Amino acid sequence: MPDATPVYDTVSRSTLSALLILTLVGCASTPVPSVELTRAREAVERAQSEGAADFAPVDYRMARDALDRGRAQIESRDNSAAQESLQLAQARGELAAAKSVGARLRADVATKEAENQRLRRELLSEGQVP
Amino acid sequence: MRPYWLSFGLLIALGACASAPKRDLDFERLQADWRVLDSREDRARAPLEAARVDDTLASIQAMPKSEREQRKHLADLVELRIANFSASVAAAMDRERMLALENEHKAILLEASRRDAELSRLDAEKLRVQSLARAEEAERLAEQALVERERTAAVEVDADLARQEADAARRLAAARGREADLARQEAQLASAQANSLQQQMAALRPVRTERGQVLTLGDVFFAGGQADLKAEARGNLKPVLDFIDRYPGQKVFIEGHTDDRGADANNLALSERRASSVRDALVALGADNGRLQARGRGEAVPIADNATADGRARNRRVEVIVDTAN
Repeated sequence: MPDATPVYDTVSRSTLSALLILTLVGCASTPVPSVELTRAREAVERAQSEGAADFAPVDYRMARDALDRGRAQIESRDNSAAQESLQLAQARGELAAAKSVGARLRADVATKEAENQRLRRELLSEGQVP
Repeated sequence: MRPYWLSFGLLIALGACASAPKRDLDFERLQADWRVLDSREDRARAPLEAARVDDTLASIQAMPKSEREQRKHLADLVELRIANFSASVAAAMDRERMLALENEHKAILLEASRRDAELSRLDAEKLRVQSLARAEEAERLAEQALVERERTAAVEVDADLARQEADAARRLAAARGREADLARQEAQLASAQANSLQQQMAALRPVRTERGQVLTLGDVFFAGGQADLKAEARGNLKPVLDFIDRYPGQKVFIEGHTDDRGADANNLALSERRASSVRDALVALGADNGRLQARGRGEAVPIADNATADGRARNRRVEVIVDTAN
């Protein structure tokens, strides 16, 4: 390939510019992530109903922020960024909900353990049956 | 290294989305995290939604092929999902733990009620034993009281017996006294009878009647209701024998009579037997049997009023009649 270098440069250049254009066009042409928006909103709502504001305040806060950000990005037609924000909002919201459920379960477990211990002490340790 | 990473970053920034980095720490870390999560023994206990797992796996797989910004996003996403799965697994574990604790709770209550029942049983048993002991004690006391009562009663009985013995002795003495009295009276009576017999015998006087000479033997010759002559009468019949001997060769009728008490037939029989007794006694004294004829007249020929004791006594008699008319 004697003419490799000029060809390479040309190809490389055109490829790069084409890719750039494609990227820009691609970004611009990303549709409004309505599915992601719904999922993110549901996830945040569920987190809230699970008490995430108390049990997982940081994650809950971040999920809400991501959801707000996603909405804003949809407003400004930055659908690609919105999609990512909303995906994060959904994942963060689900995590917040899961953490809340887990925290409540752990609290329940701890309560139950204490109760069993108390019962065992009150009912079974005293008045030992020979 | 720095120039390498710079050029590498540049390459991603400028270059194809397809161009893969040689090494991605995020990717490796997340892959490792995932493998750890996936290989956990309790993994099966928290069934994760297949779609999400696939999604996450796809995200992980996509990372090496993605551009930097995208990869960062995927890494964040995968990290969140892994954390989420971990939380789910932990929650599942906690649910199991909760279930176990609830079972334990039930078991404790069951055991407690079992112990309660056992304690109640022991209490009941204790009460039973106590009441048994009380019953035995009561029985013992009752026995004691009985023994005491018996002892008292025995003492009373002893006293009573002594009293009774004294009474008996007194009664015996009295009875003996009465016996002695009776004996005395009997003796007196006997002697009186003997006297009266002797008197009567001595007073025997034949009476002349249309049937001939009649000698009457009163009822003192016989015991009440008996046909045999009294022993003392038997020895006093000599005057009678003398009387009939005064009329040798004459027929002698010996007739028995009774009062009107009792049945006629009995009286007739008794009068016959009494007459026979007198005849036999006279024969025994040496009288001629051929002259003597005994017969009973029963109550048919009274000589006195049967309504009075005295009359009845006079009617009870044996008449010895010597037929002087022929």
